[in-house]
Amino acid sequence: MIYQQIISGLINGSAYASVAVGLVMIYKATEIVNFAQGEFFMLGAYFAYFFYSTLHLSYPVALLVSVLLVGFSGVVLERISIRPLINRKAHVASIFMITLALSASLKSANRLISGEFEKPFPPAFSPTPLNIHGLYVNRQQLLVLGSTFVLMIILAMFFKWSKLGKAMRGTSTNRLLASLLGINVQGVFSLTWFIAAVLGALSGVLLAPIILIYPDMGGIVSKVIAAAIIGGLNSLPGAFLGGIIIGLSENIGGAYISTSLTDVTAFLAIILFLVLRPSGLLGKQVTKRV
Amino acid sequence: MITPRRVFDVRVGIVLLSLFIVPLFLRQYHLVVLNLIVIYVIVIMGYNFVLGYTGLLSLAHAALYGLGAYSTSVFMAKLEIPLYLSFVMGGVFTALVGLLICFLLLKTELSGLYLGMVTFAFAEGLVWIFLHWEQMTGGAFGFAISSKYAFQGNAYLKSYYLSLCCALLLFWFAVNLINSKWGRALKSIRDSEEASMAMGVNAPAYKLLSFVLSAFYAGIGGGLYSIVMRQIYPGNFGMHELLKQFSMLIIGGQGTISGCLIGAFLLPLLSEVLRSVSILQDLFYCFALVLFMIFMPEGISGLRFKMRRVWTRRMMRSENI
Repeated sequence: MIYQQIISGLINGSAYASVAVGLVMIYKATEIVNFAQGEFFMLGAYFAYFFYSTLHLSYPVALLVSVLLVGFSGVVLERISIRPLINRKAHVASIFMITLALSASLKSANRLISGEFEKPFPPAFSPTPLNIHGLYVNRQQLLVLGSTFVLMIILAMFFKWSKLGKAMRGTSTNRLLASLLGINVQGVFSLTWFIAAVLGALSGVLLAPIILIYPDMGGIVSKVIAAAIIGGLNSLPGAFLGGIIIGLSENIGGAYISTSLTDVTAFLAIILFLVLRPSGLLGKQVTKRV
Repeated sequence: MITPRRVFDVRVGIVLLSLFIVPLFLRQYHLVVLNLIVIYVIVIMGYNFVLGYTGLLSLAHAALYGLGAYSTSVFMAKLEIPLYLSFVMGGVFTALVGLLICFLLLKTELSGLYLGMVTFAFAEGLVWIFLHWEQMTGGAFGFAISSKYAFQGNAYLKSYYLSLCCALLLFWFAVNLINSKWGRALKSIRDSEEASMAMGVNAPAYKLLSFVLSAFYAGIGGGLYSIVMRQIYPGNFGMHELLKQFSMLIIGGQGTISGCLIGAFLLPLLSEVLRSVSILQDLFYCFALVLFMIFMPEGISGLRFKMRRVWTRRMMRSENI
């Protein structure tokens, strides 16, 4: 029983983790907490539903097309709504609220287009669970778990060794210096949003056959923010760890203490961590220069 | 003799008089809208203290508004405290909760985004309590105040006069506060906290003041809302409501009292126009908010200053020629 809970916690957690990594990437590049990050998750699932269930494309093709589409919409969103505010040096509050407004408008636009009701996403693989030493796991769940871990390793390698990854790290350390060294800072911003949107959409597409899809599924963002804060908001491995922690504690707390606790775990975690340890588990303490 | 000062007084008198007389000739439905507008004026003025003047990103305002509504309903219907006392008590209770939250926040010197996220978590926690403490709040089915505790007779008109008196009082207080030493201290914290601390402004104390004041305004507004509607749901006070209040503040123009009035007047009116297509309402709020934040961050009341700037430039140019 407890192992079953741990497995499903890991699966939910890995979905939170990959969305949270996208959130932290954007935070590191531009010091914005992107509230619309959950909407990439929602858009991914809905695009995949459209391609897979309405147009009858195969699951991998639907996955690829919808993820790329969401990635580009992330770039467009940043370009038309966030960039003008950054260039104007607007207050953090305004940028935070504009991402909130974007999230709400995407949500209500989606409700307008595809209806309020929950839809089942047709399973991509045979839904009979595998029995591994007494644990029941779906093939889809295994796919979520496996692809998240592989993706995180690829991302770590990208940041460590590739030229673009180095450019992105440089930009997040010092924007002005990076532009002096010939790094296209604006391009890096676009790339960051692209990768973040892709990460969000990917976990949306992968998780869609397990959960129902509905317009408010972007509400995952509160858990994602909690994950990022547990990890320390400026640490990518921290965000991954935080996602797993949130997933596990939600599932175990929900099963053994009270089901209604699943909704508040994230909020309690945000309050506790920000009040007691604002730099999170793995984050760096940032000293403010006046 | 007609001095500018006296012209101003006459205009204010006419506006006040019409505020009191016009509702006598309105139908019930319009009275409800008018009630909402006056309540939003109170709530948005409170939000303006914390966001517009002090520059603190608080996302808990809608939930505090809800706390005011729920506590007033509980005082009225469960503890049978008279109406006039219970909504004031609701406001004070909300202010106390705001004080508690703020103490927790000040202890860690949170600022900017972190403050936004903590208040967001508090807000969602409060809504969760509204939803799950069922014997107190009625849970998802909402809290209904039976009519024997509410106003008798023409209830909407009476509640309108009550809200109007509160709004006028709170408006007078806000204007005087903003133009006092305290108001200037709040604005200096918004512009640069470090500089204002260096000038001897006790920034934490002023932050506490503005947060608690805004919580009080929200609580009073929420209490009046529950008196008018007599039926409240947890869903009324979530993210959706916060976005609505935020768009009122931004579209009206943050950091000005006139902006609060404009925003609180325009948006409920427009949303009543759009009522038949309620699904478009959300989209409208959010799009308007995004457009205003990109193209007109000073809001509608900021237009006045912009016009004045353009006007003086033109005057100077014509004098040169």
